[in-house]
Amino acid sequence: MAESDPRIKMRFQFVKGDELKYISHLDTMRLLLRGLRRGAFPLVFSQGYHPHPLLGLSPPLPLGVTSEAEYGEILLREAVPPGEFMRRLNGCLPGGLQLVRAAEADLSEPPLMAVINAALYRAFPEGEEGREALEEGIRRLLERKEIPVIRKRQGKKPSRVDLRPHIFAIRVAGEEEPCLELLLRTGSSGGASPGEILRELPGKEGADGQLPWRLHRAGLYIYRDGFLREPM
Amino acid sequence: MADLREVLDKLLAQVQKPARYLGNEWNAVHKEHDSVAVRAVIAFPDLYEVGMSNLGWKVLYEAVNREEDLLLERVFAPAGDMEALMRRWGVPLFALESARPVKEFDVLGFSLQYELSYTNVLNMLDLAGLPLYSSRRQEGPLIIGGGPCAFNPEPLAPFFDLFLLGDGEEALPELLRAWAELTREHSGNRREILAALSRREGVYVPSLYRPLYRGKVFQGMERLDERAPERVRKRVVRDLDRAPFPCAPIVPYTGIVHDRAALELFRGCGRGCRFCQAGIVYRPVRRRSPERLKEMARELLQATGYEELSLVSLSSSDYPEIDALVRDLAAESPVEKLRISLPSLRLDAFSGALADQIRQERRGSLTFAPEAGTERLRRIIRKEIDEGDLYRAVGSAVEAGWKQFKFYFMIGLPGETERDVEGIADLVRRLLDHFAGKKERLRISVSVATFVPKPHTPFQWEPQLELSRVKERQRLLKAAFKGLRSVELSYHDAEASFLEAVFARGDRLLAPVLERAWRSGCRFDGWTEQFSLERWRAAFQEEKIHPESYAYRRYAYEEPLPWDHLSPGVKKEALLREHRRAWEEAQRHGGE
Repeated sequence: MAESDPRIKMRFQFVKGDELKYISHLDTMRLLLRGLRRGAFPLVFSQGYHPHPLLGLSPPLPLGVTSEAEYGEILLREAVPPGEFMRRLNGCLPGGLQLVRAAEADLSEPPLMAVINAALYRAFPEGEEGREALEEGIRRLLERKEIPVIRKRQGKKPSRVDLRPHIFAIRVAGEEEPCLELLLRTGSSGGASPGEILRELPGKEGADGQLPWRLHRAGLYIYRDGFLREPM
Repeated sequence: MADLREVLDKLLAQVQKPARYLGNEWNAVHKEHDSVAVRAVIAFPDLYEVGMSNLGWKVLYEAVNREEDLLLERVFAPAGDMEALMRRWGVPLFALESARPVKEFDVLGFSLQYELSYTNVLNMLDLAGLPLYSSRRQEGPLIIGGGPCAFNPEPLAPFFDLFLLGDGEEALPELLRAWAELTREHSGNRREILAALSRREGVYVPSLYRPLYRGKVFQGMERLDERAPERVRKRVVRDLDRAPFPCAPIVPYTGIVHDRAALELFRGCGRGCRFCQAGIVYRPVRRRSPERLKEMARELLQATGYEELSLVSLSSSDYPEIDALVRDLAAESPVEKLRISLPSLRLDAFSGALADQIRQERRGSLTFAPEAGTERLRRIIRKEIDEGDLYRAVGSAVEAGWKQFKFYFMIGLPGETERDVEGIADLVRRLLDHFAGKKERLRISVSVATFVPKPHTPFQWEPQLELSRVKERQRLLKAAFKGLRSVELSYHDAEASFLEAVFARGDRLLAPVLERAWRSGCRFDGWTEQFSLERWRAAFQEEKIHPESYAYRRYAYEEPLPWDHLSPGVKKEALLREHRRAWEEAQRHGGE
């Protein structure tokens, strides 16, 4: 519950570059909030003992992954033109995290976290990798009816998850240097991370538990009835 | 060598909390290395989360980086997983801002806050690829140290080129420039440069002094160079209003221990607790004016985006008109929903008005430090508060809505008896009874540390209570707290306090022990889960040193002490008088 009437819901898209790919979801949240405070925006606070600004973010980006399509939304007390919002906030954020779009959204729209359910990743293999080998790997992976993995989360019991239903599509892309494009389920109703999937590709386990891929999130979508729609 | 970013990128994919090692946080200073005359790194020998919570080095970061011709970057102790990867891939210790090897800088300065971080100091020197001993380094960065432990740095003496005593915000930029100048003048002759530097106030060059021993008993310091002073006096900044302060400090990405804006109200402490080293080494009391503080607070909050402002000093509630200051800071805040907190509160200077002003914090707990459980013992240690103060302070806080309290006590204090230990539980019980009528029961946590005799305090001559007896008293305490519902009792690791006592009053004979302990794997000794007294005991044994002779020794007044040649500005006679008074108190009120 907000303590004063919000007037504006500002939605924005931001990119996360190489410089900041190692900060967590929580860190990203903290960084944006502090940027908003540095920019002296008219924030709307939650009620209760520990009032906090009402900021929502799209589903977490895995650590070590860059992105050109992260989304956030924040409630403001007063109208701020989207262009000015973006300029002012960008001035209060480091170069590795910058807004590329901002727009007012209807207050009644559901939170982004609830509707975004698909993520597109690009995975660039480190070192030489033939297009055929990649295609063969994908074919064999997608043939499997089940891709069971054990997930270990800090402070929780390990759980068994089948990754197969979380894969919407995988294909080889890229003109000169081949890369993989993975469209995966994400968000509040479960999903898979690109690292989990790539680890299952035959012949690409990688030494030292290191993933021999450079990863980039190219898009987040609302996937419904076979159509991908951008959140804003 | 170019920077290490490319290889670091691979390493960071494999470590916990990689955000510790990025170096590009908000307000971090990035300067071109070629554009400055002196390049320095400040090293904090503990994890990022701990180091980033310390204000001291941030003052220096500001003081140096605001000078155009100087540069100061940062480095913290890498966590175990990062260290392992760095060693495996041959990645040397690097400064965070530029990702360049520390070894390539002109000066490497360690912040020495805590004796149990000494193995980390050696580990960082080694990770940097530097010889540990100063005598083996004819080139490469000058290794310096400062902070409270610099007032007796003897166990570290052979590893350092020099120590800076006292306030660093003026001394460090001066020293960096002097170093550059002298290096040119003496074409890199280290001994000559160090001897020249030793004439500057606050500079202690340990290689210019030789400790004398009879057997293993310290007999005094011999000065090896006339240029070095007989007694090194600390540096003191006179006017804090005009001194540099980090009004735009680095804001971390990852959560740290104290993630908030810190505003230093004053330096020094007007109280005279006899166990307290900070009270002596940060003398005299120097206050900032309310006008300057308000200006600083505004800058701080605007530059960081923090939602919490912490008023830090040794005893912040002693600031004159603290109530008015807190009220004004809240009223003039440039950010909404600002929380103001005071980490250290005096029981006798905590008013209802203050309780009211910081009420936004009432969700958390309020911290007080009665230190001892009985009036008698509080008189001996000169903690001048009585039980009435305690009721008044807690009463004011309860009125303002607080329910949780934290109390700090110590055991093993000079003159302490078992009755004093039980007295801690009695005091808490009486306090609970006193406020029993309220709707909600007070929730109290009691944290009990072990007394460590520190150099330059009136208790510097006192022995530490033996480990077995400390543990006995901890058991006694536990028994005494049984049945006290809603009270949570915790105590510090007695074994770590023992080692702290050994090194606090240590001399140069401990340096080889330190090296051996580090070689046997000791790191992060201040972290209970990593600390192993067994490993330390083995190191002492192999060097034929009895740690007990350091921790449990009662020094005679006429005995020379390993830190006598270092002066915090308080005469030894004054400490001695205070020590005598403590014993007069003890006799007057009975006891051991």
